[in-house]
Amino acid sequence: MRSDKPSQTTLDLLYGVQNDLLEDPVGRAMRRVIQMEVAENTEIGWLRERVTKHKNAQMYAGPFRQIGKTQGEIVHGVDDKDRPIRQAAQGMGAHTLTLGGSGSGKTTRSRWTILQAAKHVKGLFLFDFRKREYRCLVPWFAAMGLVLKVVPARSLRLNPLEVPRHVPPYSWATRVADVLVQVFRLPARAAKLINVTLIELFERFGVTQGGLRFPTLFDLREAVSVKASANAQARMAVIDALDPVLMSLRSVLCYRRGWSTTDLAKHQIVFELDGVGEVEKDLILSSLILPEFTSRVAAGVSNKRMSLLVCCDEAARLVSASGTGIGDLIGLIRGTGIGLELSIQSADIAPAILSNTANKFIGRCGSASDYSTIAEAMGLTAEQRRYMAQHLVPGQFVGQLAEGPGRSPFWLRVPYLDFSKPPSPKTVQGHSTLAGLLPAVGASMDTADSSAGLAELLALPTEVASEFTDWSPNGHPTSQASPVSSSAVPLLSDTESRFLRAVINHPGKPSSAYAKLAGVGTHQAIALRKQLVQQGYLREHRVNNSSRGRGSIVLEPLPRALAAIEGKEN
Amino acid sequence: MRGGYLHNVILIAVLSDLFELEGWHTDQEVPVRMGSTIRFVDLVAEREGYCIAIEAECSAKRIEGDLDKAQAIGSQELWIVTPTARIAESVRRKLDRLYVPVNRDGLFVLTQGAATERVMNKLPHFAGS
Repeated sequence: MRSDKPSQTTLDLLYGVQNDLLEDPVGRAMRRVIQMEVAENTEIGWLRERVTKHKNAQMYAGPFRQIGKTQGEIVHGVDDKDRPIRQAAQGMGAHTLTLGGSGSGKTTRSRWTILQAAKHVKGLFLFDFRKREYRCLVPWFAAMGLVLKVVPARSLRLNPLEVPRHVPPYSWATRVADVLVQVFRLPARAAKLINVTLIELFERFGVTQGGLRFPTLFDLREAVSVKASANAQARMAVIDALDPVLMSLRSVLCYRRGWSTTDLAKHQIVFELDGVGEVEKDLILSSLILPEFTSRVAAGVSNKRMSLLVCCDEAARLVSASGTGIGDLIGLIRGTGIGLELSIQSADIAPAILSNTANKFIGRCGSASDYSTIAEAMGLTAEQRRYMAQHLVPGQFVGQLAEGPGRSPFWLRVPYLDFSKPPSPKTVQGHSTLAGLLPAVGASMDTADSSAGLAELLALPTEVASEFTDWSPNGHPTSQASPVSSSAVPLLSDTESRFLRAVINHPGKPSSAYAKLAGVGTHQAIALRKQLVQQGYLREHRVNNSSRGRGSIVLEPLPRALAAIEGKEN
Repeated sequence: MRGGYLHNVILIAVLSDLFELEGWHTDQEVPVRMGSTIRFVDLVAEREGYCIAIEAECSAKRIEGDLDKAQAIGSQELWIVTPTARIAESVRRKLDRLYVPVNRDGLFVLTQGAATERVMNKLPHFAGS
């Protein structure tokens, strides 16, 4: 009678197939004869031997599967037998997430991967959000015959309102409005205000007719501030959010035409954003990634080979569950040929990030909840989770790749390379995986000058908005001497003129009444009042213009104000 | 008019406009002969033969002169209007020292707000207007 229970040989065969033990010519022959049921004891013995050997090795390797021989250009690391774990460079287009506490080796892993990927992608954007971790790759790139350009945040030349190629201006206005609302954490109503204002600006600048002279964020700020009919809260929120950023990034944003992301995507660049605030970082990142992505989508690019790899070190703010950073984009950009590599320290991550990063690596973490979150996302068993939490040391990771045998979680070790020193034959000695990676190692490192690369970027075509190079929120150039000490009557901004005119035409009102009369927000009116008093245009009087309560401030226009308004009207 | 912006515009002009709005006839800087000199009352409001003299004061220095001017012009009421409650209080103290009762016999010391409210409440004498 035939038993329903599979034979030991069948079970061994299944195990062998599942664990890629029969991929070599002998293994394939063994598989064939066993499947044809013509196997002799010799073949069955060989199979048994392979399976037993693998099971024994697996016992020492822990609960993670040994994925065996892998193929591809990128070596993520080595397994416990120093066999390289490889992946095709294009597999990185499925996005990579690395989670690990401080000192776990995630930056070394990231550098290691970038070094290999650099030869396979046209453009490389490396974002250093908090430290300067990627700068040290410059000599390594030079050794490979590549130029890695290092761009500090304040050397950038950007115009977030510049309409990317192939994108209709009206669509871009809506898109930018949403992004600004997200970046600046503005109320939803501000999105409508920004959208409408942007469309008006695009029409005024002739962008809708195909013009290439784009409005800047400064134009947007000025246009919003004089929009008296707009919702006051939304308007003030936009102004309050824009002012500090425009002040901080004045030299970056005062361009009608900044660096085109299409041009930048042909270069390999490190963006060092450690010197700017968090909101500024978000704005710069959005300004660099969003136009390129939108342009590719508008051009009909779909499922293209990865040509741009974007790496973000310490990207916690961008991917956090509470933030809106790039969570909205990540699901869409893969198909446009952009790959993302993100490194973070904790698992406070937006679900969209976990769902859309097919390559995952987890290193040593300080918190069980971090292990738990990522283990759930990687589909680890309880045993694997426990093992991982207790055995990971710096430089070791549990990984999962987008495709191939690496889909099963595996254990890997990233070879240590001292990136603080320039590459030399001695540095790479003993790293068999580096063979062929650095063909020019030993070349003179003196040529690895990051400033030379920056000069190449600075030569890209741009158009400066010179009227905003000295911009300040109060309408006066920052370098201008104080009007009080100057004998000449300085130019007044439109807002200041309106405020002064309101004071002259409506005397005796409490100072709070002038906000509405001048068509400005309450906070702006207070700032204007103080500024104009300081500049000698107005004098304040305290008057009890009600029978109860605290007195109001009543404003007296001084001769300087009368002269300024008269001069303006003439 | 010899006062500054606060005296002329904030106190007098605003009150004058308000009186006019309420149907009063007003005159600013009304001359009053006092012996051999001519003095001026800041604002005089008249309606149906009822006369109010209004003096805007930014300090308590000239109170006695205000009382004399009001008497000379023959007004039924004298309002001493000050920009702040603090100045109004110092005026009241000065009047106390002069044994002049305040808020009685047609003498009122008011802040600008209180004076405005008094005009807008149509004054007790013209409650029906």
